Amino acid sequence: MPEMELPIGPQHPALKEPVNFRVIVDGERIVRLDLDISYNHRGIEKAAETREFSKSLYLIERICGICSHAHATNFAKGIEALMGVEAPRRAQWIRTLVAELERIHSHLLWLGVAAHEIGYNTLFMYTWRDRETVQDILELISGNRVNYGMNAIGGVRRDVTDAMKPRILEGLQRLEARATYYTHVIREEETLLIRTRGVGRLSTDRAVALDAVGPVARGSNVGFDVRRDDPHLAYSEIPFDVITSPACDVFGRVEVRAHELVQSVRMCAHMVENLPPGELMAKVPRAAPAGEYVSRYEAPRGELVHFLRTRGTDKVDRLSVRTPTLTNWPSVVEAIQGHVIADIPVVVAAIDPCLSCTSRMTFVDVDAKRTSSLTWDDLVEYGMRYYAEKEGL
Amino acid sequence: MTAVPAPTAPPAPTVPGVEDALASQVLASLPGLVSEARRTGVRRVTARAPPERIRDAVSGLKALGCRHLSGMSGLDLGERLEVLYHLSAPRGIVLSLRAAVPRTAPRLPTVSDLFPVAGIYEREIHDLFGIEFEGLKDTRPLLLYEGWPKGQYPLRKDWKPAGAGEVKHA
Repeated sequence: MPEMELPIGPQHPALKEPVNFRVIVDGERIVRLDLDISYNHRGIEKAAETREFSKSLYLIERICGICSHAHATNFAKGIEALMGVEAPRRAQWIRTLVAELERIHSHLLWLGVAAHEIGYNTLFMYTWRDRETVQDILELISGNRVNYGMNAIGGVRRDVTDAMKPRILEGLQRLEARATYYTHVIREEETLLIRTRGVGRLSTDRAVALDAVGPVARGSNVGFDVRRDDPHLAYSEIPFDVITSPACDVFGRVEVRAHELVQSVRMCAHMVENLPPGELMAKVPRAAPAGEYVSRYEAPRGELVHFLRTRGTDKVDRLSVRTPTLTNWPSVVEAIQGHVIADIPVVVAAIDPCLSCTSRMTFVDVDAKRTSSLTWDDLVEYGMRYYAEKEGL
Repeated sequence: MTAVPAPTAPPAPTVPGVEDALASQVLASLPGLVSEARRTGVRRVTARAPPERIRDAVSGLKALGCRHLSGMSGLDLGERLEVLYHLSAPRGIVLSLRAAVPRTAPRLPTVSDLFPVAGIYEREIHDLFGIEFEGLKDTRPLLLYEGWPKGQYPLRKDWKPAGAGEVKHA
């Protein structure tokens, strides 16, 4: 059978990462995967060079809708390092609290999306219902469900008051029970096991060689977590474990995220109960002296890197953003090779790239120049049908 | 892994002086390849490599334990363009290795065979700064669309978006 090219995407530009995949297939088997992310370059790095730090902060918070706090915090702490100031301890703890709440919301969202891709919609409904709990907590703290706007250069803009604490802890208690429940579900539910075990294999050595980060690396038994390896914010004061899984496949990535949910909920409870007293903001100068700083942060999807360069003004001379999804790309390309078309949704979703609503896909028969279109939903349905016939699911 | 492990303890604090120790170590281990190694912050070190020998420098650092490439950044310094290789060294240190190339002939050897992920970063830097990476197999645009005018590198300082100056920020 001749090799065929199978383009997926680009998706709707309103979504976070509009990409196009070109999948080269030989019959059912995937030979190669190609990426095109040129659909919506927003020029944020250039735009940041023309805005004062305080305005850039809002721009950078909007790089991503799911891990907005990750970008804003990473930028703020980088600028603070260049200014030579440190945010007060209470502000660091509040930043960390929101960071972990963001991780909970992101992992729950991902677990639901991954479940949806394999046709396990009960889990999708469950996780997205539970995600409302953490969204409510975030709204209680920040006033917003996304783009929390918690950060300022030098600290945080809002406090976590004693009056909020009982409601936050009540929500966290519910979330801990649910997160623990999910750690059992993923081990016992047959649909999930068949669709994830042995799928998208990425060995420990290859994960290291391909620079995988975040749950993709940890799902391949690579203990790389910036929170522990390069402690920032309040992570050096809060007990937590780096979760790894020896499974080295999509199941490993699911397992890591499910267990990280439990960890994050416990970390949040610890932070709310032990929040140190003190100021919310340090006094910061308007400008930062000339300097360079590599700001790292463990975002829900993995290591996030901002390279910042200042020249004694109130603007950045250069901001370079490296997001975890870009770094994980070579890992997807490798993990998907040799698998069948039916596995594309779950393997791609396993790095959590937020493109699962990809608009349409086209099958191109290279020899006959025939083209047929499939929506992402059709592909998902095809994957389910394939496994229904093969495994009797 | 069967049970959810209980959190043990916070991460161990950084021992003072690890950055200077790494800087001296790379200077001693890679003479002629790495220079100007110095601490720039907590767990942050910078160093310079001659552009024509960047591959040797990166592979030397990889052998010294910098097993993860955290990212690459381009920089426009006027006469020169610079590329920074942010390498994750042991003990949580980020070593930013830099190589400067003249603006008139911005060329660097690729490191995408040493770190496969570098291929993506090099394509990005090529799009935005116009630096050529010799030996890079895939040279298609990554971030800019196929109709983007040739020779326009938007992150260079002399590049201004159309209509710049008309927009006022509140």
